[in-house]
Amino acid sequence: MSELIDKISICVERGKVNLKAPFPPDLKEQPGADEYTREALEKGETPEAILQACNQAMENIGGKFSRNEVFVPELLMAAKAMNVVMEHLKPYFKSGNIKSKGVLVLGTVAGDLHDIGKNLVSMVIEGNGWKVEDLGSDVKTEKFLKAIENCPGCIVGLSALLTTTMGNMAKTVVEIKKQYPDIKIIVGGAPLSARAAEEMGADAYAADPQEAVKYLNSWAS
Amino acid sequence: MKHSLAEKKVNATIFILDLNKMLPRIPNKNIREALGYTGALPPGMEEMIDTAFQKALESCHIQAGYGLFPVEHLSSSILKIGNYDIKAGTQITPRLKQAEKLALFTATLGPEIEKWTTVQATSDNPAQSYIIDIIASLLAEESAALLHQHLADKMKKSGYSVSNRYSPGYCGWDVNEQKILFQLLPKSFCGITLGDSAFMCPRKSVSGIIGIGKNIKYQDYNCQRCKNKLCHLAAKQKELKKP
Repeated sequence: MSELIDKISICVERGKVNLKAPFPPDLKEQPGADEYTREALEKGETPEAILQACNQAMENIGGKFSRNEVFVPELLMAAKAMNVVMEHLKPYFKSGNIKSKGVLVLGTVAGDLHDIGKNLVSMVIEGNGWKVEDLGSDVKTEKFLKAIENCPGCIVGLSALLTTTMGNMAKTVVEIKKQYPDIKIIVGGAPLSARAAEEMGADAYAADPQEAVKYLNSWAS
Repeated sequence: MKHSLAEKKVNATIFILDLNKMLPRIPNKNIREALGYTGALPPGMEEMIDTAFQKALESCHIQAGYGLFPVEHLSSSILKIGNYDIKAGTQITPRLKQAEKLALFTATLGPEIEKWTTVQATSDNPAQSYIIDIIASLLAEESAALLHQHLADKMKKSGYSVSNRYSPGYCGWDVNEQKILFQLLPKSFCGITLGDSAFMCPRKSVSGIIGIGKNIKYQDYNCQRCKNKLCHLAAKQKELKKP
């Protein structure tokens, strides 16, 4: 790994977005993911190499989050730094030089407006090379079905925070499986568990964003 | 003030409180814990939390109020106000058995704070937005606690006690029941409206019920006693604040 790519990777993992960003304090007034990525591309580093390093950085921070070594604010800053890198890499995705791993159709189920967990998952999964079709919160089953129709071969992610909306999640899972038996569904959110996921007919339960990435990557390979 | 809801055949007394004069206080420890930090904060995080707290306070325009309604007990899971059934469920209803009246309450931080709480990759600073969102949730809950305290003090003067406060969406009470509460309160009470899925707008709002009676008691109820281990509040072992 070149020194420049190494710096990008460090900026992503530590959430150093750009020169102006005051966080983390020990990297204050130093270039961030934004400046280093621009420089790397100008100097001929390949977008694939940059993406691979960033994916690893996101995996590292995701692992730390799973182990309670860092918390949501640090994960969000890393995801923001990754998002800035992805802005630089967007033209290479469009030209087909680099490909996304697949599409995740994601939403918080009907009756539930809580979207922070879902947005966090979205940012981490995008940072790991997936395209995310984010349907928002309070998403009715019909909207999920329509999105699946528009994204053949996608994976579906359902989120819920309230125990009282788990019933809506179960209904959505059943309806999706009825119409698209081969579509993989991953569920998450505070009231969920592996057992609840199994009972409602989902394919997997992810306790945190990194676990979701692991399932997605295993299904894509 | 006396508010006649003639078309609903319910008589209620409505009160509006100005909580902006007594801004809710949130201990720094509570914010840290809500963010997940139980030990030392990472470098720079304390400053980030302080900035977020200031922004949250500057954007808060708290409105709170309640209506007092006579209540009947229909069954172990249903309360009745006028012609309206409140299906509060088997966890909440028995705890309000001694209630002679119900206070239907709302508290909101207002809409302005929402411009700071969008947590997306496209936000300038999603981490700060997240921290403000967490602080706003604590402020909204604290506003409800202030209202609860106000009601408890007021009732005590007349020899009445108050129960714990309960909100739709929690303790097995369907969030859709929120529609009934808002039908019983004046339109856009405290500036809050309900969407199709029974969610409140502005989002940082709390609604619920508090029982009032001569023999009702505040119970040392907390999530650890609740049998619903799936609830996210139970997961955090969060205690509801006692008035």
